[in-house]
Amino acid sequence: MRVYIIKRLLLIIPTLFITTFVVFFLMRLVPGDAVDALVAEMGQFGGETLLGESRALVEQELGLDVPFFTQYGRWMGFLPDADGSFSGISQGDLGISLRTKKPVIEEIAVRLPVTLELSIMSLIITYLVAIPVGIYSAVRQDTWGDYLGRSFAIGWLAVPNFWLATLVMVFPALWWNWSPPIFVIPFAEDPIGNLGMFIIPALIIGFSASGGMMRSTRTWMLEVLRQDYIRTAWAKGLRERTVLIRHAFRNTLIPIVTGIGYQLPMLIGGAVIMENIFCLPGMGQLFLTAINRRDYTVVSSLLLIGSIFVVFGNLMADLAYGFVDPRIRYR
Amino acid sequence: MGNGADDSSSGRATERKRHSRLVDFFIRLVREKPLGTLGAVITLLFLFTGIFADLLAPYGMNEIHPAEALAPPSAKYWLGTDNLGRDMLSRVIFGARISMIVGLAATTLSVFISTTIGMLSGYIGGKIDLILQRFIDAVMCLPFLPILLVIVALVGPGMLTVIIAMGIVWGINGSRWMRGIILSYKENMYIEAAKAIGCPTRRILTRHLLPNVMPFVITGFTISVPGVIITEAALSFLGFGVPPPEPSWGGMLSGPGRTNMFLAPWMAIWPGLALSLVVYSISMFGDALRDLLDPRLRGGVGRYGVRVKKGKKGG
Repeated sequence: MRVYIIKRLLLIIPTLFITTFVVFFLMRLVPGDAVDALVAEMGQFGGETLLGESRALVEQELGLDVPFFTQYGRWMGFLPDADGSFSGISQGDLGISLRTKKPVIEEIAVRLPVTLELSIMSLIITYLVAIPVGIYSAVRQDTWGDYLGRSFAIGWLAVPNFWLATLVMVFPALWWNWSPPIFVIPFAEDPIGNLGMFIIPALIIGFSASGGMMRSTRTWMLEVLRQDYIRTAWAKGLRERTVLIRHAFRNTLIPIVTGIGYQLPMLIGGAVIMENIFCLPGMGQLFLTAINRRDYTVVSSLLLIGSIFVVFGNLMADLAYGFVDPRIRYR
Repeated sequence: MGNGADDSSSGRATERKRHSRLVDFFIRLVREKPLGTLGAVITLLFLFTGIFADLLAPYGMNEIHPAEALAPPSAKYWLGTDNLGRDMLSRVIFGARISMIVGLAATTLSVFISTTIGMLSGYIGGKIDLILQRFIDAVMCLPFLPILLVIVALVGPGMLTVIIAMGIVWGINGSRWMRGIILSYKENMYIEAAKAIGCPTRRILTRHLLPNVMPFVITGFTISVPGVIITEAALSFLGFGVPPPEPSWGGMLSGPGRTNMFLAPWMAIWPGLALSLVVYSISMFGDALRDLLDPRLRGGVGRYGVRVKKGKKGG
């Protein structure tokens, strides 16, 4: 087990390393880069700026005046910056926002709790909905309850979350003059109000994600229910509850646990959309603003953080296999 | 349909066999999967709506009637009008065209990419596989909606950008799954036989391996289309998809129209409803297709095997 964990952790390093390269390369992919956008904007506001001169200045300020690989090395912290100091991703320094001139890490730190709270609530709701419905659907296969559960799952898969959010914004306001809160309530001041602010977007993300989860829970539960040890459990005369919960459910935990690994990218996507609609000042909103303002340091940092989340989520899911399923042995 | 099979019976034997298999498939679809058939019918309806949008739409997609802006559904405007006085029905109809083009084109590109990578990586293996898979690991851990937003923002919004961006991202993500299938199919005897008679690798790939994994390619295609369509709508909704004057369903739900939805709630309903209906139908059809084509996914035992687990742990 320990060897396996070490092996997995070591494998993460090349993965994340290539990710940094992909992100960096993507950012420099297009000829019309940050400088053009900035210079164009400066030209707009600053009036008669000499474009050539300001361009060189901006390039120097952004560190874009050196070759591509030097830029990458500096960004990663492998090569010294213009002033000779090492600061980059490998030193935990994400750089400085091109627009607000604040360290990116500060910008993110302010927004992280919002996104984290939203994601955790969504994840809890996903599982609270998906697991019972999925199990019920499998246990009562091909009954009305099953059909209802399956239609429910496909329904949630088909309804896009941004449409649902739009409906939630529009119709309660029309019918009952009520709309979801779109201002920030700090948890410390008003815990209930704070949860109330998150509950609607979290419900939307959670229900949307529960469709796929419910279907995989049902499939696995169906498969487990046909295993020999379940027949043995029935034959021993155990109660249905015991058979289902102690024998069958434990064995469906694997897809449920791995599901987290697949859920994470969806949660991140959901957070971007929901934070935009419900005006939650989280990382998703920061990401959209940064893209619109061509703030490349912020965008690439957020992409990297997103992929670190996904990589570690998958790692946790893989390791959790061993805890929930004693049959799996790591080598 | 039965006649079709008889007509071609005078032709070559292989021709007849292929034809009758297709007819067989439709008969099974209708008999065994009523919901899948319904899904296929609705999907086809939307497809034709998209193709014949010019004939079906009562008004032009960007034709404005400022005097009748925000008009509720009526005999003249069946689904009402939006804030600029554009007919919602016509826009929803033209929206079907955009959704279908993006959905089919991006998925075709993605299936092509994932099959190519999957075959190269899975069949040739060795160093190519190792290096390619590390790269794919890296791309797969990038959350896909943000990465699409970045690509579209950098290249500039537009239908072609969206199609190519989604095709590449989806293709790379799907290639892991395709590689797993190739890995299991390349162990078959007929591949070894082809190798033994000196068949070149390219011929083995295109003539021996590809036809045998075709059911997976087809199911992979139908399973991906709904996600691609929803993602296009989400991108357009966020302003990074098909740009505004074009009536993309996602774009119709966002933008300046949003503030008018309180006055004209129908603006919030129709594009989303059309989107959900299409996604639901294609999903149902895709599920039915998978059940009919893919013997491994029909349920029952066997999926608990070690091979599946290894494939998942590749990262």
